[in-house]
Amino acid sequence: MKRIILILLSLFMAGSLLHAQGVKLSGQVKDASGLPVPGAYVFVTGTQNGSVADIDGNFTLNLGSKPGAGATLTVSCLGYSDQVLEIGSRTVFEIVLQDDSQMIEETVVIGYSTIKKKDLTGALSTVGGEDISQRRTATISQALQGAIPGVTVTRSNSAPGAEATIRVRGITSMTDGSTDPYILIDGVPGSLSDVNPEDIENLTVLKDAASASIYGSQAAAGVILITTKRAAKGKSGISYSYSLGVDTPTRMPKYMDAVSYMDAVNELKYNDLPGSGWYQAYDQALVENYWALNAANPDDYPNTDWMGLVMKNQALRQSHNLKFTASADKLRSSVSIGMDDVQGLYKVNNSWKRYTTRLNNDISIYNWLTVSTDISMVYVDKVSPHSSPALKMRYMPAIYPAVWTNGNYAPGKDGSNIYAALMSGGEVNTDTFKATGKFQLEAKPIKALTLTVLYSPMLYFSQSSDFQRQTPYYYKDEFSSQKYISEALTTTLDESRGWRYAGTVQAYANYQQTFAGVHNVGAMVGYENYYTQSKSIVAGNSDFPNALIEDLKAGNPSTATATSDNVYELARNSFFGRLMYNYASRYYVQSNIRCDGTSRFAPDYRWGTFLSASAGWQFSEEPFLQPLKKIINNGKLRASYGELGNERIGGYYPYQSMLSVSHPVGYVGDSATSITGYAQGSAIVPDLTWETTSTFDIGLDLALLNNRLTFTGDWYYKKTNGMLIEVPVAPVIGLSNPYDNLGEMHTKGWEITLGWRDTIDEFTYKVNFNLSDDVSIMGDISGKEVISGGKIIKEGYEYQSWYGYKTNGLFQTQEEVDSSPTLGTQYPGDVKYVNIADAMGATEQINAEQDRVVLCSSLPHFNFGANVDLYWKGFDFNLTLQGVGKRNGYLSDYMVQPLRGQVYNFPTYLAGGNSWSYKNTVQQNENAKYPRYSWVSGGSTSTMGNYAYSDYWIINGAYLRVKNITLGYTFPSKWMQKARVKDLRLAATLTDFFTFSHYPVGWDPEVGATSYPITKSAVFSLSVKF
Amino acid sequence: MACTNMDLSPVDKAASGNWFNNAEQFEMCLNALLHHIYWPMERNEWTEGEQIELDLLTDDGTNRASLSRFLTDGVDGSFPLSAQMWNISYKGINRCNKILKMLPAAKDNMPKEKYDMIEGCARFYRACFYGRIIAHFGDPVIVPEDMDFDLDEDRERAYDLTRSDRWTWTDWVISEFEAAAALLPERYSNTEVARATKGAAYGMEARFALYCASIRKWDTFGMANADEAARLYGLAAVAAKKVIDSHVYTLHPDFGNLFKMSTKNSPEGIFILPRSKSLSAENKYEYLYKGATTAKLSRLSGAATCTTCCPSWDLLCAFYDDQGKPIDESVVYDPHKPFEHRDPRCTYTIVEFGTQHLGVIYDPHFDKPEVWSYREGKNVPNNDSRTYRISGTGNQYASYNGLVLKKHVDDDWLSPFEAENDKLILRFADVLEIYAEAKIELNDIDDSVLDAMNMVRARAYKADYTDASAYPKITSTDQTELRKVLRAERRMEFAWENRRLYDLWRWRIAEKTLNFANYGLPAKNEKNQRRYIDNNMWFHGATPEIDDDDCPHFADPVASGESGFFTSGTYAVKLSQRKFVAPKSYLWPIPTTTTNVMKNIRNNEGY
Repeated sequence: MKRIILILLSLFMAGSLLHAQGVKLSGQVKDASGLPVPGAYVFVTGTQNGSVADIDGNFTLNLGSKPGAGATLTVSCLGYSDQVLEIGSRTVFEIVLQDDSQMIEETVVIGYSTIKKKDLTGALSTVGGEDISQRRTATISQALQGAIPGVTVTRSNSAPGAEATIRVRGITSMTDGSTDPYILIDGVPGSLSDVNPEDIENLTVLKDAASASIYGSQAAAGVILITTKRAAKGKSGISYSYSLGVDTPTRMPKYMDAVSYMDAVNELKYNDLPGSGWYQAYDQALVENYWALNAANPDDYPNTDWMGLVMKNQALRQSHNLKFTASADKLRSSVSIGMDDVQGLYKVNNSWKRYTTRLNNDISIYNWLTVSTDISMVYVDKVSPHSSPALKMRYMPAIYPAVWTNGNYAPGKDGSNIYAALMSGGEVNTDTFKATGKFQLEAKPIKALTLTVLYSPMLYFSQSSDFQRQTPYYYKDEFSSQKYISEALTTTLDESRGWRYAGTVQAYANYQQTFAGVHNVGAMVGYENYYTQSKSIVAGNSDFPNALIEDLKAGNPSTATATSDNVYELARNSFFGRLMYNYASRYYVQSNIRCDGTSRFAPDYRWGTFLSASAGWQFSEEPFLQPLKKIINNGKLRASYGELGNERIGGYYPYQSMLSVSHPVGYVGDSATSITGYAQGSAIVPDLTWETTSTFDIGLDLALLNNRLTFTGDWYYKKTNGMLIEVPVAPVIGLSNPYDNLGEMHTKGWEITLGWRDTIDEFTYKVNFNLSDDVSIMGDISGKEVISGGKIIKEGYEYQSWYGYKTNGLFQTQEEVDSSPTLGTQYPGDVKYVNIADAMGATEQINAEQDRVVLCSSLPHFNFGANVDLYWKGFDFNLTLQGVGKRNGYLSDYMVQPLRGQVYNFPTYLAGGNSWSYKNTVQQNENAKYPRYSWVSGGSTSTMGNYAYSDYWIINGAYLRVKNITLGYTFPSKWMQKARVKDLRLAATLTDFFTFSHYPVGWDPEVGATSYPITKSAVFSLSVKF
Repeated sequence: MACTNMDLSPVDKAASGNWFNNAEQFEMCLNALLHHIYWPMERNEWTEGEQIELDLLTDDGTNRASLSRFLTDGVDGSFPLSAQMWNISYKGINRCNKILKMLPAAKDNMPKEKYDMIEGCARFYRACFYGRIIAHFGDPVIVPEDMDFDLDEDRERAYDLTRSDRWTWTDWVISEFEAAAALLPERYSNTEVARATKGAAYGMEARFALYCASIRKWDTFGMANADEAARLYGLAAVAAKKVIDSHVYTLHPDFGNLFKMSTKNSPEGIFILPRSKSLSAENKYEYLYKGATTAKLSRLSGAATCTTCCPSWDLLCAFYDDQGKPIDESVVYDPHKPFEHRDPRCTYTIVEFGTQHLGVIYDPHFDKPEVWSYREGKNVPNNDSRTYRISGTGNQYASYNGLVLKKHVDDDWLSPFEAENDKLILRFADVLEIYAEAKIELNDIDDSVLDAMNMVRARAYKADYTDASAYPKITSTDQTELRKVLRAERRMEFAWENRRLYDLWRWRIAEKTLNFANYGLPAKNEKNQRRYIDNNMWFHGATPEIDDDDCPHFADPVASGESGFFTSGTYAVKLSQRKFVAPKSYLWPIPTTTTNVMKNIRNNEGY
């Protein structure tokens, strides 16, 4: 601000200066790359005698008299560090200003104000926008994988537009959606997917309570603050970037071909009914001659490669980003337009396109009053198949024909033909529009005080139309058919229109003053309210005369249906404040308070108050350490304690007992009539309120050896009280489970970041490593146990530990089976379960009530990330590694069960002696990894038989992934200047290209068994600035 | 800048605080209990994911070469049917409790008849649900009516509830049916929603009393008690008689027609629920779709994933001949022509070979690679036969035993394979048979017993039951003989109506018949299929012995024909081996989701 005033002053005085007599100083101001810096203010230090550089960076300064000895010239320009030069006897100056981006980085946003990074006392991490956009992922969440210690990012698929799951410092809550961090974009709640990675100036994760507690009830799962790019004072320009990527699956499991499948099915049938011989399902002659038959007649003897039919070998994606920035005296404006076009791997109907525009304006009305108006618009156009092929393309056996040689669709398995479904069975078109505005007034009535008022509306509209197109299949040589595939039996259309408004109003005041040169005081108070309302309409028709026109109007009007959905409101009011004090930038204390009220809880339980305090000791500034200043450049010890709240639970009115409407059918006279029913569905807890997480954190920041070695380490302990748990009610009360403030959870964790950077001649290198771990142990949860999906939540154990049977290999002989307790009826080759209860004198059977135990942790531990950056002349190189050091992975029945669901194909790794079999030698069976092929012992559920949840299927789930390899080259500016190009960079990036894990062949450690694959990408990008 | 209002309430739901005031509101609460999900029978009525028909847990059905987990001793507390039957029954019980608790306060806001009807319906539904709990799980958990689950302390108390002896509560359930019957009207007007009637209450009472009586009589695991059995049979007979004597219900004149989708609200229906697709916009349970229909269809219906739910050979052989004799005693039955000279209910239940079914000729014969399609007006490949003469996989999943289901299935089920047949929970024929069975077991055999049984049988022959020349009239008055006939009648009359499982359980014959194997035709293989045809084994090469419970014994020496036909492996093929562990499998397991949180609840023996 000081500089702005100076510039304004200088303009005012420029006229009088022209007439002055005496010494004339002149020169040119350039930046580090040699380009002129227009608008730089050059003045004699300590005077008001100055001049502004013109468009070419040239300036002239007339001095009334010869400057005194030791007089200096100060050159100042926003975005650059001030430079002071001795005038001496010189009259011509060549001034090179250094970019002060280093300085900007040093300021961080901390919630309703900014603070110099060195003054921080909380635990937070910041990533520059550049680091995010260089990862070349379309969504930001994916780019954060491995980037920040304590931030765990997991994916289950790489479908176009897919977001990854982000967890900050483990898990402290069990409610729906509340483990997602709170996202603020320029201070206003939003979502990561709304932001174009190229628009990010920086991204900050607030990890401890002292940093996050200013966000009170929303902050328990961590807070991510995104600051978008704004136009810098005095800078105008255009930049453009383009990237083109090729996505391919990281790996895909292989399934048996037709003959191996038939052999395997025959073996399974034999195992289950030995009296009926080896060839119960497929005739011996057929199996033995299949390849010859297939060659002669592929229609009747197919060997269908479903995955190959459904998927492309690779998919393309591209992004364009164009940005204009302009700066005038009172107006700074930045406009950016981005377009991402991501094509999916399915052959048709698989794309995601995002169009983003952002306009950030800063208008200085008076020198004490600034208005900012930001408008951001996002439009996403997504197309996906009506029936996702992800499951069936993997598991459908090869013996079923997908398409006849004459081009007609074949029946597949029993009329289920995922290839036909994909190609002709319809699509889901989803369009979402989101516009967010932020209108902010910032006044500085006195120097130390800033008053801010802002209003931010968000308007969201979505429409989706899910059109199932009736798709016939044909018998061989048939040319007309009225048989339709099961995935698209009829033509139906389901439409939905959703609408949502969210408004945030904030008003706050910041005060910052230094007393007596050493007492730095900061204070902030504020108020915020948030209101959101949502409504949607769902309509459909299932009677269409044809599958051509995708519109409700094309259907039979008498069968059209419509209803409302997603109707809710939510309101919050909050008051907050902060006090900061530091003595001589050496001793820091800070405290925050936030008081939140929400419509989610009953009036008496609505308000929650959250406090935090932190302290820091910048010991490197201590006089007694000054002799070591060259070694310890920076050293700070931090400690903080604070409380955070969480109210994010499923449902918007959980304390109110409600009757939901439904529409059964009953007879009125002889006519079936729709009648209206009302009934209470969920149990309620009227005194439901916040859950509170208290966190204690200590941390150490160090910069050593000329700032080359940096270290940040934190240790923390979190305790959640009154944890909102969906309490399993006694099922005999007939209501669904309510939330209650019941539980307690304890999380301990630590995280470290270690960095080294150095420059040797023209070679600069940076190495960064981060590692973190956290363990969340359940405290008292009133003796409840929550068991689901093979995991348990139980006092004294890690949250969501694996829960199931213990096992002891496979049964090898009938004698062994006869002399052992079994789970139902078992046979040699089945998994041998350990009878835990017998040790306690209970029954001989293995059963769910007595023999299941807590097995081990299911959550990832020792998450790590590592970066190597090299710069040499114009070249830059980045290598990023990411991984999980310890995790118990689970082989789901999808991965290991033969003939799952009595239909699905066998993965090839089950064969070749890997499964227990009568065809194996005794020794092979002793070493078999997988149980015998069986349906009877296999089971249709994951609680019985060989695939019941047990430690048999737990594997080492640790992995290491090469997330990113980038090689870039920036052309020397002297080559480019003639074409008015300031900067031109070309780069090639490989994402997720190499992965090391213990999973069975073909399985990515992150991918879901029935989800879209995880992809790896090769991306070529170009960026240019004018 | 005022605070935003935080006192928000839902705008699309009703709040319980301002409900339960008038008759309309209570009636709407009763309406909610008419959802099909409260009365699960069919595949799609259990949970979101498709489950299975109850008849596939019996010896009346087969699914290709595989068995439901219940038939392999493979269920535990996670058995989805068990979980849903338990959960949905208690959901219903508590909704009834809520109505009954709130109703007295609104007494002055409605006419007495309405009040009685509402109370009667709630008590009727609740008694049905408790009856079901006792039948499936044995000892019930009784939820006190005065508990208020919006209160923390009552919700906590619910965890400590425990199971009560079923025999202690049997009479309470029966008395609830009685009380409901006293409150309920005989019928509803044409402008009212048809709810529970007096007849439904007595009918369900009779069914429940008979169920309990049978276990008291036939159980061999410690529950038999002759006096109790006699008392309960007596209650069943009295209740059933009240329904019969009310003359509100009559047998539908045409047995085959009764189960068609086009037959609505038949006068035979005592407790029935309509189905409708068009009226079930947001509720997928209100009609049959996907596997609930396609599983029962033949291959040439054109449906995907079809023919997984077929009648068993056990059922085919259980139908009497048209002289009223079991096939092993028949002089007219020819195993090569299994549909000739049979009780008419045989071909109403199972599709007769060579007849038109779903628009095509149904014939699984191995020498019929093509059949005539009326739908397409031409011969089409006969994918309803597993014949080797069709290459490729098109006919791989034709019925493994050659049989497909006819009952309920008609041309209305064709594409898009969605059906809205009435759900017949209790029909008049069942009340007649309940009456007869109770009286037979009491050895109180009079003309009313024979009339009841003959009315049901004669209807199948479209005959007047008094006309002995028009159908094989039942005349014996010997208890043992009549019991045998009654069991056969029930099997023929109620096949594929979800009654078989309960009959097997209460007669305690599941431990016998559910340990038999399932048999079928040889798979696609020229040698085996040619041998079958060329040696003149089609359709069956032998007649099995039929025992007094109307169960065929395929594994025992045959009554006549090729001695090794069923068991040698040369002709018939053993598809699967059922396994039933007694007494364990006479009850379902209490769901693990319940035993996980209710520590006082012990699971049933063996689970």
